[in-house]
Amino acid sequence: MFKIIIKIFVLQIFFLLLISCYSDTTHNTKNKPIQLNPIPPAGNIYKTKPALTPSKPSANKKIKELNFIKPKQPVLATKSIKKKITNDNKISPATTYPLIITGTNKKNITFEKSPDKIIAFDSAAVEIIYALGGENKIIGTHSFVNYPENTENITKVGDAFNLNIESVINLEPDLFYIFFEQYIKQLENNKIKVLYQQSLNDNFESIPARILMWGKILNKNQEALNTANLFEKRLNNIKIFFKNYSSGPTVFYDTGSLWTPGNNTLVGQTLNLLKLQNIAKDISGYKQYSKELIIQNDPQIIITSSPEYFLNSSEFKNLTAVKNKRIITTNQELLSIAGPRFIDGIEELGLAIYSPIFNKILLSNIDK
Amino acid sequence: MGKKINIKEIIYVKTTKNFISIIFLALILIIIFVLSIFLGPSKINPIEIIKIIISYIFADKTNFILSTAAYTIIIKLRIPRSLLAIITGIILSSSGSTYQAIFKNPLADPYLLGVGTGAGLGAVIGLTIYPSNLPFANFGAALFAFGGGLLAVFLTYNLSNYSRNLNHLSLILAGVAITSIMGAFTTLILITQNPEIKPILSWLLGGFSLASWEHFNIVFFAGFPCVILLLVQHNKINILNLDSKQVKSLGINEKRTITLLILASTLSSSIAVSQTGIIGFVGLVAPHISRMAWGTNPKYLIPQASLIGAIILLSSDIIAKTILSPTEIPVGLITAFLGFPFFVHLLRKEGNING
Repeated sequence: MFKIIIKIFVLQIFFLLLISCYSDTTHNTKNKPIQLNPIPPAGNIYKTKPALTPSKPSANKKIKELNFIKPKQPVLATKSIKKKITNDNKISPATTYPLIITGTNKKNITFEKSPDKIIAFDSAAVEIIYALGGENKIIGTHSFVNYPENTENITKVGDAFNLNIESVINLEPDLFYIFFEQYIKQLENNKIKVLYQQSLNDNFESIPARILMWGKILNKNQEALNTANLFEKRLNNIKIFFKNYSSGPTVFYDTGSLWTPGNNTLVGQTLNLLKLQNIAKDISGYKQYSKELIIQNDPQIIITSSPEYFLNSSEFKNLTAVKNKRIITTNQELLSIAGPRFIDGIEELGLAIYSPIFNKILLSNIDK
Repeated sequence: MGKKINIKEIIYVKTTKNFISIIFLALILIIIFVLSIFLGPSKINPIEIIKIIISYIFADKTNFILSTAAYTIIIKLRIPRSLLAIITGIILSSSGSTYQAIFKNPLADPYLLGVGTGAGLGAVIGLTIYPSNLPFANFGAALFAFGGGLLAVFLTYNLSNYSRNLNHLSLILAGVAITSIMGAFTTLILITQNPEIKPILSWLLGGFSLASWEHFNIVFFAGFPCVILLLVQHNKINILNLDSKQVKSLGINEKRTITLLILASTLSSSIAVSQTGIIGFVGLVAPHISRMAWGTNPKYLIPQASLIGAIILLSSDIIAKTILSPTEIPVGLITAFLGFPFFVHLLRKEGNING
């Protein structure tokens, strides 16, 4: 009996080894991205108009001043744009009732009047409602919500993935907003109006639409229009800026323990927008990336919340990013919540990487 | 049956058989080790790998032209990673076979006794008090892990004694209870320490994806002496299989010996857990394969089981790092897949004995 089992076991190991050998050959790392525009070091290269022809890579240039650039002045830019937009758009239609909103599950939710007691079980929704000035209507949320500051006082009805239905019923909400499907039936059985909208996992361009939807629900259409327009305008400015560029430096985006986002994530889309070449673009969702491939693909920039790990590990010593001290720390929370602050995250990242020129573009927006 | 049995000859045959088995296992391990250096998510020319290793051994006296990236990958990633897998396999299997002898229970292993989860809890507490980006954090985590693992074993043993009739089931039940309570505490800490959750969570799944020389050094210098101690103590482990009265009559202080052995195996497996995460089934399966194939003498059982454990873990790691490349999967997943059929088989066998 045991001999058969041992044989099966050995066969199993060899079989799996074989599979692993074959999967090894299918992976292709030969196509290294062609670098058209090298990293702008210390503000000298982009003083003139950026050249579209491929210039010689200047990776060996020593950059000393660029450790941990802190972004400056995007706040200033936003304030001025805000004033402009409020003057431009004077349309402020009040919501007509009954209002019908369709959820991701194709269910129509009808509102006879604007809901007064909302449980927003989603960080992005809470941020949007606060941005529209409807914070006094939120009566409950989940415990991972930590922005804006006074959300601490809101009753918590669960953490991000576990919901305490009893406390939801106890709060008697007019509207329960949730970003995943699991609890909808149970809540509806208890006669709670549930609006389910899947969280935006790979499409930050839909954020303005979400803001407008909340504007309708809260009957704050003017505020929603302003916020959404501001978001789109800032996004467009970045798009216009990057039109002249074909590709930027290669990056590795580390969210801790080498877990990294692929192309079909909010962060992946942001990297594409900023013309950064994600070395882990082939993976889907968030996965732990192989250490070997980081070294082989040799990213020019590393974005991480723990720069010490990359700077102190001897195996990363010879990476271009480490040699040039291009290890950037940004507020990763901004890029993980698809709310009005998301554009701040994009600008912060852009500023940290293309510091001088990006800053000029943001500031030049004010004068227009 | 008139044939005379020459006992000396039998012992001689058995000894040579065991020696040959150990050499055979060591050879397999070396082959898989070489394979693990040549296989990986990044494609490097085998000839270049050989050149890199030669130039590393002869300390750069050769004039090979090598790419720095490939050199770093081989010397600083693949070799320490494979060595860490080997040493972890050895530690888990040798302490697994010791636990099985001490507790006279074929189902005892670091994972089922709660040492894994206890060490995990200790390491999480350590990393919460002393964050991982400060120097010597790995060392601190290892110390805390030892404390947690020791606490878990102590609780499991006493809880199983509490049921008055010490049998196989009560120890395993106690282990399950301790594992779940330790796991619950770990989850509690992870939930309350919200921003730090991701790195610790991925570490808890177990694996060698972040392995470097630093991890290997900690495990090797803290864990290997314990393995040596277990190897040297094989006579006493053998005697402990007897009745406690018989043990006393042989002039052995049972309590002291047991304490020493438990300390050694718990220390080594906790250190391994603190650096690699919780890897199940290896410590359970390896001693059983060895026992099925070559018998129960601890003198040979521990080295045989250690080599088998190292082979299992190293081949599992090769699968873990290449099968879903460019991403890594936790090695604990692979060992669970490989170990599950054995676990089922053992349960069936145990059921037959008890029933």
